[in-house]
Amino acid sequence: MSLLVVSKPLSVDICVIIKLISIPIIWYLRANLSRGLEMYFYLNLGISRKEYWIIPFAVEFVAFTVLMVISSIIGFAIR
Amino acid sequence: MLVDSVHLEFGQHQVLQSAYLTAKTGYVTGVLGRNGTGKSCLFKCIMGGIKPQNMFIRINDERETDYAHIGNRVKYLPQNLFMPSNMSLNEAFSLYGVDYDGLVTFDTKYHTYQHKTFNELSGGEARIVEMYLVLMSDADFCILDEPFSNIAPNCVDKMQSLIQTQKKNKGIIISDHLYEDILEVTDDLFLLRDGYTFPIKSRDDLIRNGYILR
Repeated sequence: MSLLVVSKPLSVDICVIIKLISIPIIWYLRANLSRGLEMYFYLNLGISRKEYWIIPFAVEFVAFTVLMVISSIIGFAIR
Repeated sequence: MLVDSVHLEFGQHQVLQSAYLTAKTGYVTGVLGRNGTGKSCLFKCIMGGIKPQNMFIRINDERETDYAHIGNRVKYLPQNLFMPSNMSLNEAFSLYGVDYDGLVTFDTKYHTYQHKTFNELSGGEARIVEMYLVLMSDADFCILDEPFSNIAPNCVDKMQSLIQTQKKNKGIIISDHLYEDILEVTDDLFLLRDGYTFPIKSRDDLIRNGYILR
């Protein structure tokens, strides 16, 4: 995001909007996956402890990356 | 299932030292212990929720056990409510592969509860649903941590009957402070004390080990 802002200063507002959109996703995942004994609900389904903790971050990273790529494509299209 | 040499410590505090547990299909294994002796910690170590300093676990004399995904073979009912509060009963039963009609047969009260979420149930109702779900799931073993807490006596009797029925298909490990209820349903019994497990054959052994006074 920093590199994008450096290369295209006018894209700051786009980066902020993208980050704002990702907040509900992160909030939803963490609210549902990281509360106390709820971990055992997922362990009972055969998910490992490592997978349980990594999944929210992985999903956030993939979702944010996708949003950044889409916004870059839109930016180039606009230029 | 054989669980052996479980060593767990939190900083300077040693919870488990060489704890040992076995379970077999067709048998109910009871685990007793005073508050803070590490029963729940032992179960959580088996399920992978807590990483112990050392543990050996083997199922069915296999050369390698996929411990990371042990939930495919062992189901665990924690001491407190563990279902996601916003999840509906229908969804939970679907994920666990259990027929909801069986719960209605077990207790007709749940006939209209299918689309309710767990936070809309009372504590006792949610506990019964969780216990039913864990017991009826497809697994080689079930671990029930204090399943009878907050349950009405008539439901305790029903649950004990369900345990006796399900033990034909899987090995069941159960712990509770209501030791007389445990004594009624268990085939083997262990006492967890000072980080070690001791086999218990009779009520006198419980008195000798200081679990009960008389």
